[in-house]
Amino acid sequence: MNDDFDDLDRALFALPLEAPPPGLRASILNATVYAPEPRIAAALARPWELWACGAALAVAAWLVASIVTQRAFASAFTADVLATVRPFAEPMTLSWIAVGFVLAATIWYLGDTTLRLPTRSVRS
Amino acid sequence: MLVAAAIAGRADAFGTLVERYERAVYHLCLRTMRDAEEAKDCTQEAFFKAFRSLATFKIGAKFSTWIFSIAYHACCDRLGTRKRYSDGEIPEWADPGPGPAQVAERNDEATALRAAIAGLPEKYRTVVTLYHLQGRRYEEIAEVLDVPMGTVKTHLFRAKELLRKALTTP
Repeated sequence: MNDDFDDLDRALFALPLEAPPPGLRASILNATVYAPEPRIAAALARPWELWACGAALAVAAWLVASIVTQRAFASAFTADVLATVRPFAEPMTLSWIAVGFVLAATIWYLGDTTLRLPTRSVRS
Repeated sequence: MLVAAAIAGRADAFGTLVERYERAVYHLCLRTMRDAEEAKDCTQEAFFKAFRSLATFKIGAKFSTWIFSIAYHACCDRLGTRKRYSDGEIPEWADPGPGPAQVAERNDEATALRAAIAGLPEKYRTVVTLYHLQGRRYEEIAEVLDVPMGTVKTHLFRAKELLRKALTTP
């Protein structure tokens, strides 16, 4: 390809790039790295947690639908639930559950407060 | 590596990438869109899409090629929309307003050249922008535009022919 554009090439290469409008970088960063995370995504950081929540919700929806639509299922389910829950109503079991809950809450609280990185300010 | 750090979730790494490529991406969008406001929107959209798709970035590839490609396609999407809504408002050879030669008479070579580039068809405009103004290689331009390298060379040659004609025609 015969190319005789020396002057044009020189002029094109010398043409300066226009500066982006002020505030563009800040708006990009605000929309990306500094964008507030959605509440669910923030609470559930890992994909398996989302899957677990989805599965639990699906089971709950199935149970509600079954109880509402089938009377026999409702009575059998109620009996099953009562049989399952009864041992938990004993004082010793309840106290162990309370201890476990307090321990879990303490670990979660400590992990949440000490491992979080400080929020950075946005450069303009 | 900066991109790897950004993929790992380091905000400062992505911030550095934005800092490094903001000007070039904006410039490509500005040349393609010929409208400062739309160029700004396209630049934001490109970085937003890149941020959302960081996990799909192939480590070892060039970030510049990737972000330019995203930006170029964002521009094409908008140009397509604009063309649909404006029904041929933007012809292949758009009227850049005052003729390049007229502008040149005002002894402003850069302005005349910018006007001439703005008057090029979109495909030529983008190739000139990437090659001359941003110093990209043929291979990278071909990858960004998703066309063969021969097409890039042809577009560049025709673009220069049109530019020379525009700058010398009174």
